Amino acid sequence: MGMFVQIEIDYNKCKNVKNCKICEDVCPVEIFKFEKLDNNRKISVVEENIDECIFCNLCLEKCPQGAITIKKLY
Amino acid sequence: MKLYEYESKTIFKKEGILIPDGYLASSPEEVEKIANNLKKEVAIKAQILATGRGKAGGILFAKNPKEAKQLANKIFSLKIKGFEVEKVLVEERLYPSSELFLGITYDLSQKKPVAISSSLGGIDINEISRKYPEKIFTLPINMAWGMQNYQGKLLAKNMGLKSKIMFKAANIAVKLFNIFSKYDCDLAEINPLILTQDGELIAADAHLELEQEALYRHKELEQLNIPIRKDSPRIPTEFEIEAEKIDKIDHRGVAGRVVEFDGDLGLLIGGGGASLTIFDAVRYHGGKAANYCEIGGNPTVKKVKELTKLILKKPGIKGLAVITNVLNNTRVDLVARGVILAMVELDINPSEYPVLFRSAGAYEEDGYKILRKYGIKYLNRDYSIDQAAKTAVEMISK
Ligand code: SF4
Ligand code: SF4
Repeated sequence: MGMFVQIEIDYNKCKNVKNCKICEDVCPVEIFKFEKLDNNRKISVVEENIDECIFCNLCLEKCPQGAITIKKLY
Repeated sequence: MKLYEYESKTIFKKEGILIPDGYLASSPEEVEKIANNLKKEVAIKAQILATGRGKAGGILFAKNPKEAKQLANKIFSLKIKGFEVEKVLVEERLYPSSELFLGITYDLSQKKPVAISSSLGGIDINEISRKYPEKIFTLPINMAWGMQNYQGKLLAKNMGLKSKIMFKAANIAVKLFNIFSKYDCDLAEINPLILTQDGELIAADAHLELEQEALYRHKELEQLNIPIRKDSPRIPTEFEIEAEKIDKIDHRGVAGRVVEFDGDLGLLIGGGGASLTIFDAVRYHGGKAANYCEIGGNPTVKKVKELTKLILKKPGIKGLAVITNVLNNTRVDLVARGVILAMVELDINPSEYPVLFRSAGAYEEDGYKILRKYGIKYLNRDYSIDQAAKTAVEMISK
């Protein structure tokens, strides 16, 4: 969680998709990070970048699972 | 980035423009040695990044190595327009039958390069244009096509040259334009271009200025022993060097171009050229700025945070003024985030610290919400830059 923005991924929804990393691809400020771990994949939120979020909503629009939530903390 | 004469000549040599035989020296002893090796009368020329060195005694001619050493001693002790002479160029002395001028620069009104030639070389081009405007020939060049041979000939003809020598000069003009374009120059100038008694055309002086923003494209400069640097009338302070590093963290936006001063009011200012106005307004109201800077073009929160931290850590700082013009290209909320994050990381309570915001434009409502949440005083667009500067100065004099 950042000081100004809160971003969460619902992993129950996110895990349904194979090899999806759309959020990483669309986010202009590098908030999502995709890693390939053996047979699994992992999408994480890069803590130190959260406060860079510009609320462009691209991740929200493009995530096929509606797994992302974003909240302003002010 | 202005190049030294010897650096410009390195490029000239590589691109096929004739230059005098010569070497660089950093001591009178080296000058003597070079003069000895050249076995000719020599010209000793101070290498500084300013014009007018000839008049200031920065160019002297010596008949023999001993005299060269003596004269070099004189040149090395000079300070020309604030520049110490650390290096001199020792070259064979040329005996001109005439001195000519050839230059290329941008004409901002025509928005294209313009080539300039004159039969009066060796004097400052501004002086020529003031005293003998009829002697100056200018020719706009289309950047996409480059300089054509016939244009080179026109320039050469207007230097008063004929036949074979005109062709030689035309060739030099085309080469000079190619340098101008290849190295992303703002200015490429040969003054004087010397016509020797045996009919050679030699670039006695060379002046190239490279576009700062395009330097990243010129890795070849390193191979030519031309270090990439920033033009500055003085050596940057530690504070300024740190600020520059911050600006380079990321290509997005500007949070840099910092100049250090010894005042007590930290400034985070910007907005389409407003920085200077803001700085002046602070001074007008009796404030003493700790720094000048420019923020704009939506720098990342991290860049704003790091720059704010640098300013707040500066010894003697009593407060911070974040003042910008009404901006559509820099979000108020992102600047506010950066400033607050900096304070929190430095264990400063934003509601207790003397900090004043006057930012307006994109996402100002979000910005004001954030500022209100953290108890930071702000002025909106109803207040002028001048009023904001006054309020900031009063804030720290309380
Ligand atoms: S809203 Fe935009 S900036 Fe924020 S996390 Fe989503 S894609 Fe990135
Ligand atoms: S776009 Fe949605 S589903 Fe795809 S990786 Fe990101 S959070 Fe998971």
